[in-house]
Amino acid sequence: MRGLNERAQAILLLAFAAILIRLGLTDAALPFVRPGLRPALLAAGIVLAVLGAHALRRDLRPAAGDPEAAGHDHAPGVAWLLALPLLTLLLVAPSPLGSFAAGRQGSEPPALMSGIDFAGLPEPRDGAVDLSMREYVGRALYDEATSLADTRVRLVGFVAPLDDDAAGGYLLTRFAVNCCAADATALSVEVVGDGARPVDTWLEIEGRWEPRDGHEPGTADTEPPLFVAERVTPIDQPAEPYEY
Amino acid sequence: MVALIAAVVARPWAEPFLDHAALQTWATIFVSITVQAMPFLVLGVVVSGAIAAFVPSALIARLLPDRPLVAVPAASVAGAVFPGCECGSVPVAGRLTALGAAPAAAFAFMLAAPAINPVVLVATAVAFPGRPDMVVARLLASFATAVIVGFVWARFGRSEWLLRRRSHVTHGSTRWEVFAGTARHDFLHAGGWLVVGSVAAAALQVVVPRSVMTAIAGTEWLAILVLAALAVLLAICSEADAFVAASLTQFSLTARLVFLVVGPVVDIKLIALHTGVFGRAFAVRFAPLTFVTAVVSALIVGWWLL
Repeated sequence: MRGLNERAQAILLLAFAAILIRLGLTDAALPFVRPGLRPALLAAGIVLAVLGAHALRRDLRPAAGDPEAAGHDHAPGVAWLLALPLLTLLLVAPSPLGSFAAGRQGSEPPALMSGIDFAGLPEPRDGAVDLSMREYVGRALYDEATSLADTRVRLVGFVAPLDDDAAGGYLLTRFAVNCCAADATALSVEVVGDGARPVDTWLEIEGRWEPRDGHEPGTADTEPPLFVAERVTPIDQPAEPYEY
Repeated sequence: MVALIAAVVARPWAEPFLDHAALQTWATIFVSITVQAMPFLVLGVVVSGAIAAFVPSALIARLLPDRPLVAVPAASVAGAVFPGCECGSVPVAGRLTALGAAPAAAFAFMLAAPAINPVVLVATAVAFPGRPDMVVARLLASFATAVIVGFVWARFGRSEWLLRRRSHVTHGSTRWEVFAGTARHDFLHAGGWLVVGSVAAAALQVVVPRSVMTAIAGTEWLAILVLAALAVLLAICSEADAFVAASLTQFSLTARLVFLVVGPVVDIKLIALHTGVFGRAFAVRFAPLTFVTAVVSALIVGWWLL
């Protein structure tokens, strides 16, 4: 592949910088990385913009700086591949991970994750406690004091098919992300008491925890915890599609 | 430019194909790995450019001398304070060797920096609450990997395996010109190879489901091989891999330690980056050497501590 002359380098760098600055300033970054990375993306975009502007200036005014090196500073052809993520963002316009990616991980709940304090539930809002999927799954499986019993809970997630959907239920799933979507872990509850829903629909469900037969609180389980739906509201996809 | 216009024009026509769930998932993971790596890569090329512009080569040769018994452990310790992911340390090591540092020392730095810096160790402590021995084991096994690979390279490595890179911006320019030119060149070069690695890692995540990989974790030796392979294939950033390892509870702590020690030193995107920065002859020797060393170090430390 042909190398890039300085004008091509400048265009590539400035395009990449523009994308990074946009990702750094808007919610467009959230399907890919955790929100805390946005300042770093912005800073990286600014650095690339400076480097790109420098290359452009050398291209337009070869006399500035060193006349002998001007116009001969080629970058290797592999650099063209940097256009691939830009084209992917434009062409495929990737959406946040959904039921397909969740299905690749299976519905077995992951082990108890750190940072969950079983002490007290938050104050209810409009008659139900807002819980993250991470916290609900953690409490439902591992809380020996069963703090979820007799509590009305509100969960947000998308619909994913059950492995065995003869019963007509579905999974409500949300991904937890630590750095980027490559390390996303699917967290699911099995919704009972609601009819079929189209896959990948975002729902806000108010309901109650119900222990699964044969599961001892405080131990791992191979099946996702149950959630008895009492009120189901379809919603738009949240600005933060993952739990971070 | 033409490609951009063609892409916009062709979008409606290609819609059904592009909306396929597998392609969507691939695209999301591909863009995620690339975008996530960008700040660290940019930090790496800025350091690389600064080294080229402001640190005289004589000083580098004095700081990283060709006396492996001193230089390799010293470079590994130096790596521990460089707060970056693996993507940033590769261009820095490439710049150091291009400026005359002993390759063995530069590689020890490159392997140590992403594995044992404070950010990664804190993330490991958070992901394994109540298991400080996991943090110690990771530190020891990763440090041992960096030092051993450095020594092996010092003893058996040949300089003709390394791609000789010309310094692109030469004398006669101002320091700012050297800095910007080096940083730009290193970004375009390493960035292109990073894309190669992210494409492959994202494809493997879509094609090989994690559930299949974890389902065959019955026997211990098989589990160790599976997690070592998973670390290479998933190409997760070293600051996040502890959280993934923590969730793989079907596996023993030693097998998960192997995952944490292998991932930051050899994975798909790193092999691509090494190929680009140091050449193919280097990468085909360095990747197996590092892989075996990392697995063995982790097994010994895990057997001793966990």
